[in-house]
Amino acid sequence: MTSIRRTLSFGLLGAGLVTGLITAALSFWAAADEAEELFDAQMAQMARLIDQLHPTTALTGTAPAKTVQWQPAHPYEKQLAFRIVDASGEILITSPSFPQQIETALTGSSRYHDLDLEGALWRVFTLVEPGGQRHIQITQSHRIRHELAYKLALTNTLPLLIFLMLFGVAIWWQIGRSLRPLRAISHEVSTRSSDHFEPLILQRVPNEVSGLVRALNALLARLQQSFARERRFAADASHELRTPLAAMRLHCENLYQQLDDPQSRNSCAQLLQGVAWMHRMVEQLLQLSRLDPREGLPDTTRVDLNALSQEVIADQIDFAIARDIDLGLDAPDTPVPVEGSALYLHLLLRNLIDNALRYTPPGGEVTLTLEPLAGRTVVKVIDSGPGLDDAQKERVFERFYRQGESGTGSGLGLSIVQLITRLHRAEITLLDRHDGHSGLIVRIEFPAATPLAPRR
Amino acid sequence: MRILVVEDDQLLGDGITHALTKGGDHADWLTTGEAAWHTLRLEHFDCMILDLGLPGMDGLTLLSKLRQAGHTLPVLILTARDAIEDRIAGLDAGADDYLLKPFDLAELRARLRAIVRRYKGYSDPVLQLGDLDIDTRDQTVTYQGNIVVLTRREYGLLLTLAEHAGKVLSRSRLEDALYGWENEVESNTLEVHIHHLRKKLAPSLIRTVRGVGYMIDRPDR
Repeated sequence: MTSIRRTLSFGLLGAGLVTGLITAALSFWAAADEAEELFDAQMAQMARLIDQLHPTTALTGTAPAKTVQWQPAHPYEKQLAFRIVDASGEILITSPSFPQQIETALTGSSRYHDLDLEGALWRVFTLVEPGGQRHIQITQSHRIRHELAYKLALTNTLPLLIFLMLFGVAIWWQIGRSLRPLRAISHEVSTRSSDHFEPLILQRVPNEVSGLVRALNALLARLQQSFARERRFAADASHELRTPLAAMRLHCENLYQQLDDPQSRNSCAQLLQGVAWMHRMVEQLLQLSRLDPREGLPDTTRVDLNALSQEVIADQIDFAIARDIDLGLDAPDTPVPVEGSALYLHLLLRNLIDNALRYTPPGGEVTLTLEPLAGRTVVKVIDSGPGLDDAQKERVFERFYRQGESGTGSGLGLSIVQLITRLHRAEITLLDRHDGHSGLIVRIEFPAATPLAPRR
Repeated sequence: MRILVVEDDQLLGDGITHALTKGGDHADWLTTGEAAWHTLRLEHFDCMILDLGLPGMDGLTLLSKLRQAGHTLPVLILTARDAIEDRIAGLDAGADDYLLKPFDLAELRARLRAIVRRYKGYSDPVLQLGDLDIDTRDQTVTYQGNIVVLTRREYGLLLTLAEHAGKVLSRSRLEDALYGWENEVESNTLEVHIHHLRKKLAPSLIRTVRGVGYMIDRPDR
């Protein structure tokens, strides 16, 4: 992934570094060159000084050569030497460090030249007196000249390098600061819940990003519309499907009454069963489409599971009687409070019991139990059906999963149950019966009744 | 019973009218709110089945208009919308009951009978449930043609259960009913009375719903 901060920082820093280094190199070479010029000028100056100070005649013909001795005042002093040579090539006076190898035979004019003496380079300046009687020679080691020139040049260049470093840090920081509104927007967008379609605030957003934010806001508005459309679609679908279902059912019932032949009656009864199945499927699909785990609970109150269970069992008793199943409740005499949505908990219990009734053979038993357990509440639905093996237990929460042949369910009931338990932060487990009977226990453990987080 | 059916869906309207006519009632079927409004000004009906989603004048508007005009006829609303707000809106507009589509024919008939009975103030003094007859005038109970002698408490319990046939009544609800007849109820009295009723009538007449309460099945189920 590309990062604006990285691209900008590296780009700017790279450009700064290249131009900075070129500038530094140029200034380095310019400084070094200037220093060389300065040294040459100094050598000439020195030669002229000696020429002016030293009497021209006094030394003439004095032999042997007089070597001046002194203690150097500076280590570099040895690197700078002079001598005076007469016209015949005789050395009149010389500083001790003057390289002896330099020839005394001299040409006619004053000049600079470089000499390579056993690997060491020397700069030599020869001043020829106008009369031509004496030559004054000044030498200087190139090594020391370079060293000094480099030091000088470096002193000039160093601030530039420090500047570059500080400049880099400043660029990094400044870019980070400029990108802060972008980061704020991306944080805002990423932490939004799925039903939060408020437009992003355009204030404090830099001009360059405001276009993007506007586009995002337009997208949000479109999303909101399509979400609303989808919701409406669910409601519309319920309306549109329920009326023809009601008509189908009525006509089937009318037909059934008119049929005398048992075979036709049987077919009609099966038709009615199919309609009921379709009805159930439509209802559960709608329930499921309305349950959004990201949206939280629509209303949270303290719900008495005991009263709710009695209500649900009373609602389901017709179905239990029709299937010849003994449906019952095993609960304490006191209220069993749970924090949650009464509407969703009703749906949860209804689906659990409906599911148990569907998979329990006629003559069987389905019991809903409520038991408080150390502040928490455990709800169990125990049936006397065939039970589930481990592989089935894993698949049973999948949408449209139906076990075995006896499927008149939609395969959505337990998906709904699971969604609702998740919304209530409850735990659902599927257990086998260990009392010698076959059957399934659906166990749901609700957390201690503490207030749930309000809906975002 | 003369019933007015107002339903725009051809398939459903035809089905309801057909079913009600077959059941011995007289049903007239209209498809718009306007037609219903005009018909009701001229003719008498015992009750009305009203679909909420009508074209033109919708069900709720028709209902409000009727109630404002002083019509008191019992109205059962048919709705495809299960949102609680929709149901409340229907009842607020003056409906006596509502039924969610798709519905059971037996349920429709039972609800219609109930709202008409309520409207007439329980004018029928004899409660009949399959083999069971309860005459509320002289408080006599007949089962399979034989008069069964019951105590006052037993009679009260049976009447309460019979009046709510098809519904589970909780223990506390039934105990409340017993209070109406005698002053004291011991903790196991309810079970004792149920036991006696079963012995005197039939063991299967009163159904126990474990942990919840008791009920008498509706005979048309």
